[in-house]
Amino acid sequence: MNAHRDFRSAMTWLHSWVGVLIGALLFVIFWFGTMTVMMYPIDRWMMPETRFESSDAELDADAIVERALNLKPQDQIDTIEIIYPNYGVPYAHAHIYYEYSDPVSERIDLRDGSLLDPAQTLGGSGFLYPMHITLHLPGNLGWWIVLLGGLTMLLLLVTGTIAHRKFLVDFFTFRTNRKLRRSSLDLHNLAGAIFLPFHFLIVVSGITVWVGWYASLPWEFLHKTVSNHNPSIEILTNDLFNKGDAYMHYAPFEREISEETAQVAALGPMIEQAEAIWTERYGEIAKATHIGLDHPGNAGGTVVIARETPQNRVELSRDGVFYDAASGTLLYDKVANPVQIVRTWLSGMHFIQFDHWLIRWFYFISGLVSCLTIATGFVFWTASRSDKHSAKRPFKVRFVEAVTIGATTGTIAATAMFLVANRLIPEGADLFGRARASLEVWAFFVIWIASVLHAAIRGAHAWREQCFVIAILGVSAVLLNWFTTGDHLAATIWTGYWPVAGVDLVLLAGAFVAAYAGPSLSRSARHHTHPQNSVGQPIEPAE
Amino acid sequence: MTIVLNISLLFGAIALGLIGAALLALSQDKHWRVVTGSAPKSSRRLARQIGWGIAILILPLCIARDGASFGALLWPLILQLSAVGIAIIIATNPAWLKPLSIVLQRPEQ
Repeated sequence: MNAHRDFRSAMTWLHSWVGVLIGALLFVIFWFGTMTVMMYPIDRWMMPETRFESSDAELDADAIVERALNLKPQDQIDTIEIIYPNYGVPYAHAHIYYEYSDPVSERIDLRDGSLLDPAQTLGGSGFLYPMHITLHLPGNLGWWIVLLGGLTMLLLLVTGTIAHRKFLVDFFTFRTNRKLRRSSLDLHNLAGAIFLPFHFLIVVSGITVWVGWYASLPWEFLHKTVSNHNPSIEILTNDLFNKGDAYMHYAPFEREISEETAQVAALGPMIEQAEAIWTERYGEIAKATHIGLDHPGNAGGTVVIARETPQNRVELSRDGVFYDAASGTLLYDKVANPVQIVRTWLSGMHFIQFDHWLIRWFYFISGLVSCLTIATGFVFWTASRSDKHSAKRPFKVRFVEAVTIGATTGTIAATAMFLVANRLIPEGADLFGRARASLEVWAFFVIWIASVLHAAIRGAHAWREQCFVIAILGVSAVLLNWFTTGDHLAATIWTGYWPVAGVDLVLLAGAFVAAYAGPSLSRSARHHTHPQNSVGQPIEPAE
Repeated sequence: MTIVLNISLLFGAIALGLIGAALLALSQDKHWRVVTGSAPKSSRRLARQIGWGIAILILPLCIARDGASFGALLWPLILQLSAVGIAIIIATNPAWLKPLSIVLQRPEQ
């Protein structure tokens, strides 16, 4: 019995301290992950020039490749990647990667085959999504930190289930009429327990998505040092970990580069054949989503027609048909093995690249609930300490509070500022030698850092004040979208243009929630300024 | 026609989810007291069993609507949201669950 209690109190201790130390990071990862679920609507909102419906016109891959080949000398081209339009992106992408110079990205409007002007913003897919996976840190540092966050989240889920076991008996409990400390604990337990399946699946899938990258690192080390490039070890690592998965779901097909140059054969027949192969294999209409050209213009060049993100199923696909670029002859038809299919389901449910608006909204809500779980955990921790030390709060509480507020309301305010800056700064703007895309990112980080400093100075009052800022920014973003593009809510809802209408509605809802939540979050601040309020109140034992 | 079927399957799944979660909540003494204001008379194991049964029954509805791949993902998401809905109802308007508690009491009489 005693051992049980020791074990539980140890788990409670671990849960609260790991939560306090890593929780800020976890909130940031979950927040930007939630934004990533809606990154294409956010892209449409931030790039008004792309607010058009996807065209039914076929993508002319040959024309895209021909234009790409003539941009610079052909032998400098490393790869060309063509990405088809999908449920959320109404235009095609072409990325041209060079051996020694910066890549070139093109956006192709399929309605007339013309190029859109280069994007003047990173948008959701270029800024918010990388924030989720790398935190925009240099090198591999961000990947490792996010992986650490994922593993820590698993630890918190297990220790939290043990620490808050009493709640599991009283599932569905949420007492709104209690003090902030009580209701935040209830909310933490309720959101954490009910959404445990989502939390668990999203964290496990998030970790396994990149397993091909970090789990292969020791093998790679062996391969490079011990085995001295032994081919059998290379095949083993490729088979075990699907190397290349982390970056491209169609791993490049290794071929010798020739000395001779060659014309690229017509891509149309290759696409048709690849789609026919899949359609026959799966008994359903299968469309290509990606085309890759490795060293086009070289006699040893390869073309891969891939179906990376099927729109009609959860799983990502590993289908890829490889062709000789010069002759167009089929080299290799890749089929996923059973283990890979399990992994593609996990990756697919994490990446949510399929076209299913209902599941997308459920994900968005679940992601926000995850953020709520983390934030209320913090509120409970600081509110408990505020009660105990109402007269003079120790440095650690003030420190945790500043980090918490900066990481939660600060992150949300910075994201709202990112959208506001996008509509406020005119296209072609140039300030301190920086273009608009860069200025938006600056606006984001300035607000983020300012919110941490603000929280450090204002203490618990910062909750209310930053919620107020969020509400103002949310409403401003909607109004600015109206004034700068003319696409006001009534118009977008009336015409059924949901990407922009959805972002506007979520901004307004967020502003409303922030305005409502701010005052109640600062209730602990009143305890702090009027210590007599809490004198004589029995301190309930922490659960 | 398929749109009507899709929508009715979805609302059916959500309605069943809410009923299932409500039954599970009522099978617990604490929530029973909040809803009815009286002490529970006997164990409500039946309510719990039906609640779980309904939760499992939603899976075929989801699969019928969206196929196995999406359905298997939609299922836990609907269960979660239903549970949150019932938790909010118990916190704000517990009387809404009274009809269900009357149905549950009947077999005992």
